Amino acid sequence: MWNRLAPWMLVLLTAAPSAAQQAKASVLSVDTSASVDFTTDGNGNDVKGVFLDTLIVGDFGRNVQAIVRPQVQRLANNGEWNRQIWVAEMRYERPGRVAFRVEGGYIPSPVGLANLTLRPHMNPTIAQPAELFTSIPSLEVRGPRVNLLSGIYPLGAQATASATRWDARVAVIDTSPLRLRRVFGDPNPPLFGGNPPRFTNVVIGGGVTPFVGFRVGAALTHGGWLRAGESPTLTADRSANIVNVEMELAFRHTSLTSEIVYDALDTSLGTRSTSGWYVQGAQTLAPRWFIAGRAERIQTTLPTIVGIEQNFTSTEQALGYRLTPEIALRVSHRMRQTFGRDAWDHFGAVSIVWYRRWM
Amino acid sequence: MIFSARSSVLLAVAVAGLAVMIETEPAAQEPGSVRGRVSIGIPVTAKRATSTYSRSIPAVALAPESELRHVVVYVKDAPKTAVQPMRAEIRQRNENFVPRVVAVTVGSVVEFPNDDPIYHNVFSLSRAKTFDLGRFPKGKSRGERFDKPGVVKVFCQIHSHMSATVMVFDHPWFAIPDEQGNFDLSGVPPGMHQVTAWHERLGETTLPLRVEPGRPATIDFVLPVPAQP
Repeated sequence: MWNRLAPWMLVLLTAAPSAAQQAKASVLSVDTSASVDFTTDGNGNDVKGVFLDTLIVGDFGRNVQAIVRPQVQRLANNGEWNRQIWVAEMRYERPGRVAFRVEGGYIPSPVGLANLTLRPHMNPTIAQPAELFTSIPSLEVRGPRVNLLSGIYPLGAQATASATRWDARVAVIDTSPLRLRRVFGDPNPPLFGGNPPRFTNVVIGGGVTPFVGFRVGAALTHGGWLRAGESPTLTADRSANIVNVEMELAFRHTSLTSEIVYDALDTSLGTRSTSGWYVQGAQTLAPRWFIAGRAERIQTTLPTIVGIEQNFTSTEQALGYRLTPEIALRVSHRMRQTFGRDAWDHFGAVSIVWYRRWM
Repeated sequence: MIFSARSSVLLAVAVAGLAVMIETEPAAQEPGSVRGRVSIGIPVTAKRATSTYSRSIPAVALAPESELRHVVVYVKDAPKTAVQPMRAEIRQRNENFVPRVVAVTVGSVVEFPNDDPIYHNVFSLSRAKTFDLGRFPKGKSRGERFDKPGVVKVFCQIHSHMSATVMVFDHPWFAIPDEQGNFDLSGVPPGMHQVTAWHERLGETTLPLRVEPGRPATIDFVLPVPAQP
């Protein structure tokens, strides 16, 4: 049905005063991704997650664009529906040998590689990298838990320059990448249950591409992460430094990505650090079949005078089948050893992913 | 054996009739041709590159080609005919497939050279051909042979706005119009035919047409609806 309606939708949405024998670039770019995941653990507990988002890009001409990405998600762990705006920004983009972009608003996180896979069709496995959503035991006495590197969509501004062999960026954002902040957060949250305070953070990052298919990048983030009074022992604001190094390698039917993150947090017990890494690979076996896998680890310490080390280790192996160019089925096995536990938890998951570029 | 006079007359008439049929058959089989012009009656838009989740910035867009080069006119009900394979090319340039549409005969090879300083991935899951050429860098090319007639939609896994179409025919009566929309199908078998103009985004428009032996038949299309008489 959509095949029949699509031409007429194009006419309605982009009608020009006269017929043309040359195509014009669409004023709107719209695409949608959705996934439904079923996960079961070793104890027979079943959870279902649903994700649906749409990315809309409106072109105003003269290289100016408006981008918005509404999203709705049924959280697998508690079944709650969460509706968010994850991107709402204006962008100026000037292509060329040295291309330049400046953007402002709610922008995609300027830090980290995992953040770029926060749409189901971009992530070859079913679970997202743990650094985005796995809370680390609090590094501050009676303070909030943090993530190694959250999937944030901060309010801020970013300038980017890129050429064939390099890219560089600088950003100022209102959110610490250690603490997830949402546009529609709970206005009266329980302690640490809702949005954290706003903290100014500065990000400087860049990368080099020695040859096509291989990029190494790094970013340094500095800014506040904890407000005075958030913890009874806290009498002053605290800041943090985050360093991440990222690598992408792709050739033929293989792609590999890896990220290393190091967080140094100022706490009432002094500077405490936490770090982590992941390596992820995807291999196309046949036009319809692919496999993917990820290994990851997060290392941290408990907020005691003598820091006690705690680790999180996880792996996931996935097999995928492309039903159509728009629909993929995935089945995976995940195992993890979470902080303070020796036992491994096992999960099995099935997922269906749909992605469509409408115009 | 002795023939009667009546039998001899009948035999003579039959032989004469057969001789006439044999003599006139080539004239009946003389092919015709189909000529005409295609125009597009509504504005057509092309997908643009987006880079919301990219650390780099997309390249300069190409000047748009004539959309008429993305139309294929063909005889829809043509009989399966032995055809010679062809060679065709779809380049990957400035994050576009250029041209976006090619039409070839069965057994043909289509090359996919990469002109961009970035990776592309060329794949199709179409019934007529399923393949994945993987990633390959600038200056390299990979080809694919198309052995079944049909429509093969080609995509790039890395860039969602990139798509192309390979139309594969088991007969020679197809053409891509020139920049003005003119097309000419020669050697078409005489008789009533269904002639189709297909556009990758506007779909197909089919009109009936009688092709007379040795004479051109004319048909015009205004896509996506048939031309009004």
